[in-house]
Amino acid sequence: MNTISNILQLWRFYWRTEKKTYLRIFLICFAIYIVKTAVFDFILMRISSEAYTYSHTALFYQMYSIGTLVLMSYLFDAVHHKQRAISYLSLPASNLEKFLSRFIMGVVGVPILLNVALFAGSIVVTLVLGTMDSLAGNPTSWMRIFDYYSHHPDMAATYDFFGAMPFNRFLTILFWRNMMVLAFFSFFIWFGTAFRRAGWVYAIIVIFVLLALFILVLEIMGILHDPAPRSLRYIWGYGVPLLSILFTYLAYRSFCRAQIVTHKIFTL
Amino acid sequence: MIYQNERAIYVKIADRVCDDILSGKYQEDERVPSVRELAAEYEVNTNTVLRTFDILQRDDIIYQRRGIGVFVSPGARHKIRIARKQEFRKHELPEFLRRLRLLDMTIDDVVKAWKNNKREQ
Amino acid sequence: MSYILRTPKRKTNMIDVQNITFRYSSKSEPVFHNFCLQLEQNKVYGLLGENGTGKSTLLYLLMGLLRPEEGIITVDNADVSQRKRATLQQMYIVPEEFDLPQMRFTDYVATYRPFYPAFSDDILHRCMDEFHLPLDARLNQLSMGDKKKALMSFALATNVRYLLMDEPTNGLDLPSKKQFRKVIATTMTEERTLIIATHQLHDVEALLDHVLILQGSKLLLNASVADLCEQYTFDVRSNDALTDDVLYSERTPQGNATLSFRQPDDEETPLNLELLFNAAHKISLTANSPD
Repeated sequence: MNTISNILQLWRFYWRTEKKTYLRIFLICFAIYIVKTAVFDFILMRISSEAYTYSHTALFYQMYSIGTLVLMSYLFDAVHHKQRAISYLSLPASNLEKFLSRFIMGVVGVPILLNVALFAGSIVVTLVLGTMDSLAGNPTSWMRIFDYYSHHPDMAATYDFFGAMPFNRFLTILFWRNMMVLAFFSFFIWFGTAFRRAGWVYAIIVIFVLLALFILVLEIMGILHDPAPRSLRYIWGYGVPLLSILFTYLAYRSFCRAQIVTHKIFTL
Repeated sequence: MIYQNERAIYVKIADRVCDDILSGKYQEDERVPSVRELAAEYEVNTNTVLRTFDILQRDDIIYQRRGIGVFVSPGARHKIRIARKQEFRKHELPEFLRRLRLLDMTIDDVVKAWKNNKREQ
Repeated sequence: MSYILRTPKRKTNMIDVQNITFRYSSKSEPVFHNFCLQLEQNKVYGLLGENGTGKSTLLYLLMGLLRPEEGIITVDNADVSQRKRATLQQMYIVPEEFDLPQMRFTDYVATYRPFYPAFSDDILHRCMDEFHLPLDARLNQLSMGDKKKALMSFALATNVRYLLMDEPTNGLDLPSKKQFRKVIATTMTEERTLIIATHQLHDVEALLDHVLILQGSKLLLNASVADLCEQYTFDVRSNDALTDDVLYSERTPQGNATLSFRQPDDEETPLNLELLFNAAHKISLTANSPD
């Protein structure tokens, strides 16, 4: 289909114009992982094994998650800067093609990029530690390469589902909490596109407020302390994908209605 | 008194083309630059040059051969000289005579100047 | 035998601005209100106006980069704010200010040309030649004027039907302006509509087919150069020649530059764009061009 070749053409275009940005993101994630491993897993552990807990690792995964979401919100940032907007919006491609090409790039490409950066970091760490171990005469553990997600908070939950094969684990963790993640991704993309500036800040605020309300409601209904009723699971199971579709559509609409100059803070 | 009644650009360009024909830059039955080339040379709109070609064709200074180009008509130099003589008689000559009278000069002054000029040639 | 009645061919190759209203924010005055305009092919339009009258805004509206709150702008019968691929493939805008990525010009061309199917290498080479710029120039090392010339070369090479330029001669030195005029004169085609928004009247005077003078969301003048030269005479007169038929005049070192109705027997005079521009702001000018 024509649309597919047009999307490929746009991807080629993004690569040619933005590869420096992609490299920067890769290097930052890579560097953060190296520094985190050096400081927490290495130095801190050697200093005091009580201070070192695996909760640090979990904290970093939360940080990566939020970082990913913030990055997502800048997917259509070109639209908020006049000169880049003129160039991008006048580029001969339909709104749908432009939206889809960047949406797929964000939702698929960013997690892949992140995982590749962490994996590359863990290779470096493994090589360094392995060398140090060899020099000290200790047995080397090359399975350390997979350490970067071994303490991932999802591991325990998905272990029994997908078994112990690294590849299976990798796939699950790649897209983390699958549909729920997509809902979050599309929500942040929507807010990042619709708000002229710092949409992710509004997104985080809204989520916190909604979360607080939700917990309040559950508390009032007394559900919080009982095992979750089946109806809640259905709401969760169907609601989240529907929300993903809704947020994606709203993001698309904001993109279509974007103008190169606007005084509105929020474009619906 | 109207100082400068400038002629339209397309007329001026026609004059330049005629100049070039008279000076021999474009020989009779030889190709004249295309509309686009002239537009680029004089930095004007191509439609302006089209009007130039219209009047030159009307006055039979140039002729067009479809698909090949525009050429200088035979006898163009002669036609141009005749036309310019007429122009001179109609505009510059009366103006010259008017200024002579204004400055209180006579035709004898003109004859004297003519003879001097001829001697210097 | 059946005869198919042919309906007269509608002029489809044009930009049609239909009753648009546009304002930048809900509190400010509308930049355009019930504004109409039609732009046809094979014409070089000069969009003139003082700074801040909305020339750039109109160009952005024509490109679909801004959306009117009322009314519709169609390009070849397609609503331009839909930003369809087929529509955008026939349009290009050279903005007044722009940033070029850090790459060589050849890389820039290779990156953007796949989006313009009618792209012509021949025109690109000829333009860069005329501008005296090397094809593999490093874009970030070029001066602002050279960057403009490079982008204009690309714009002309895209061979689009509707080419818009916002202040193209701003930032160009005198020889560059001369090159600009030559390049425009050489690359204009019958299928193209070229719209030049500028306040540098002398730079474009001889290139225009049609004059549009914009002020305060209205068109002070919308007339072809041919019609203007047919209806009006532009000349320079002494004080005693300032007769009643003079519509507008200005003092110049040469005398009084005047604008008056042309008598049928008089020879046509070349358009004095600056005089026309000033006159249009003071008196009401009309010409026989249809709106």
